[in-house]
Amino acid sequence: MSESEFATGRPQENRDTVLEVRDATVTYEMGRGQARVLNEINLDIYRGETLGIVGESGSGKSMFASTLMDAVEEPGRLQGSITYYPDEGDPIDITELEGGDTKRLRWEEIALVSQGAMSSFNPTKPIRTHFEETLSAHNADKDEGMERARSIMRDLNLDPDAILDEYQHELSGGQRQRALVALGLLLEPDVLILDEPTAALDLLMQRSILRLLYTIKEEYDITLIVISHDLPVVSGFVDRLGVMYAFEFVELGETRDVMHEGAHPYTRALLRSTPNLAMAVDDIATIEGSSPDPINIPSGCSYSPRCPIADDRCTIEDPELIELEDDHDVACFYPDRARKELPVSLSEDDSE
Amino acid sequence: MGYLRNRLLQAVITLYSIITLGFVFIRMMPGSPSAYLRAEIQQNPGAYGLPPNPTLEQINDVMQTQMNYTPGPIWEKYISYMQGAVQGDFGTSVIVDPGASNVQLILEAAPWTIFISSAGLVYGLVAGIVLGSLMAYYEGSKMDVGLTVSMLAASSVPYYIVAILLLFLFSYNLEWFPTGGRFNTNTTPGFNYPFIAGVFNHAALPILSGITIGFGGNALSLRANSIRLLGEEHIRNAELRGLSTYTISTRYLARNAILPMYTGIVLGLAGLIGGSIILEEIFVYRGMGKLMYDATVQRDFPLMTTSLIFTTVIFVAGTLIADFTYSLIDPRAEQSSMG
Repeated sequence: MSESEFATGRPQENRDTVLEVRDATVTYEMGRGQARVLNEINLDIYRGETLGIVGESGSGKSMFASTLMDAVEEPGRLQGSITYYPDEGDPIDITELEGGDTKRLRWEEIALVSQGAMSSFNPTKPIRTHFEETLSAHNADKDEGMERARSIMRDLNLDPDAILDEYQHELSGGQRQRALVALGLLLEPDVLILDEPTAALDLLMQRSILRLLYTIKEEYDITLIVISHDLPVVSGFVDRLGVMYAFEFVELGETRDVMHEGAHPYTRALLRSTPNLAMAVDDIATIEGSSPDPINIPSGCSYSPRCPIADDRCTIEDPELIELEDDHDVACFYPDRARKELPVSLSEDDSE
Repeated sequence: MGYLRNRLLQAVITLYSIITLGFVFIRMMPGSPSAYLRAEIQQNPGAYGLPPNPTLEQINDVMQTQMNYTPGPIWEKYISYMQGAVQGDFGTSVIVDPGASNVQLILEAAPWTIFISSAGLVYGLVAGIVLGSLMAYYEGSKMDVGLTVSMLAASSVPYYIVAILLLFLFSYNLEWFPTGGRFNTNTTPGFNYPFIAGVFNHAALPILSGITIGFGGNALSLRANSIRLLGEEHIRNAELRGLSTYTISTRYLARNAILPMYTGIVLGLAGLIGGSIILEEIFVYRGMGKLMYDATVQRDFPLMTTSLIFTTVIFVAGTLIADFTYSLIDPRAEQSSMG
């Protein structure tokens, strides 16, 4: 998928924050020590944007998604603050909410289409029940809600009359994924988080799901956060891109900037290891080493053990995520060297 | 409908084969009613109007005239028995209760067995489900570990050992419960308190031993099923959607955790009438198990055959019901088994 096929590149002025994450850290106490699975994340998510979050498995992407809903699973502990700015009314610190308020926020304001759409429905209940249960759990009007569900499903190219009475196992992968998106949109949330929306789908289906999501996003005027391990798939679709490594963001910026002017060695390595048709097989690089253990994160820059341009400073001091250019933040001491010394192989037609 | 027809046909074939094989095997056992009767007559010829040391012809004559016993090859007996069985005539007992209708004997014994084994099954199931849910909920806690070990132990100890221990402790040492029988012989059978109390008093220990047959295994499998489900995406999704804990634990957890146990439960129901031969023997409880045991030991072929037919019919019907209803309660089964 060529880059910026959908990305709107909306003007930077008048950006309105919908979610503000400050110093979000998630820790788990484990037998052999404390595991830090999210490390002091600071991030603003803007209303109406499409934000992509990429990184390898175990880099903290899904944990970040749970954090945005204050839904970190026990015994994990979330510190820091996450502020939600509703369309109208006062900002809400999500981490301070309790009981019923948390429930109201989840799904009514922020919904999550979780990873594993293949088994996200109760296997012994028809799809309809999931919609009805959700409506009644939030005291919403059932008839009106089901009418909305039908119209969302039609927008997602699903035939509501057929799908609603089916069971999960009777649906195809793409249908399940779309039914789950419809369930996510049921209570008209402001923010929809999609965790690996295309992971279990074939290439054609991935593309059509992303197209649909884009249309839906425009129509329902929501903020989309797309989490994926598949850089080429999301990069064609999102306005901004955040790259996660070892439980923190190492680079964040406009998709075009990150893809073409990536300044973090890890981002560049990711791009280089992305196969595409124009590349010879031998040119596809892999990233040496493995991602760090959450209990034992390397001192200094967490990428330094794998970084080809790391020096002594990198192993001692931890670089902060700082603004390199307009709307382009990088957590690296040597962005210029990275750009100069680390090649990125992008195919010809992708460079526009 | 093809599936239904095939399963019914299979059931009929199963039934027919078991009855035929049973009929043949029973008659291949060492010893037979005729040998038993001959020995009887030989020991006490006077009672049958014979002189001392009667000849073989005289004995055979008595057997035919007074005991309604006809000699003949096994296939002849098979055909005549099956002809009768198809018309609802299952013959009479020859030794256990000579002359009594087999069906009558079974109808008299079966309710007692159904009573103790269904109580054992229901209590075992309820206890298993409650304990299993608790163990799953507190997974990894000391209680879970302790209960898991005890359940493993409970399901490894054979129920008849439990029965003997219970008998030893509660009947012989503490004298809380009677050592055998079905009711208090001093009471008049009927709908009166002393009789009913006696029935429950006598049934207590057999039921208690019956519970131990299933509940350890039930608890362990419910625990395992629940823990597997707890890790699944649809449970987390339901939590995020704001469903109440009650809805999640009943509709998402309990229901789906019990489903895989459904077939076992229905088969357990089907096995009720067969009861437990050993259990009834230990408690001298005159139910189906004891009846079949007596028939076997005394080589009462007609009674054995009839009991076999009854228990087989009910068991095959039970499996059929389990098969046909499973797809109703678990929609996932529909495609794979009905195809």
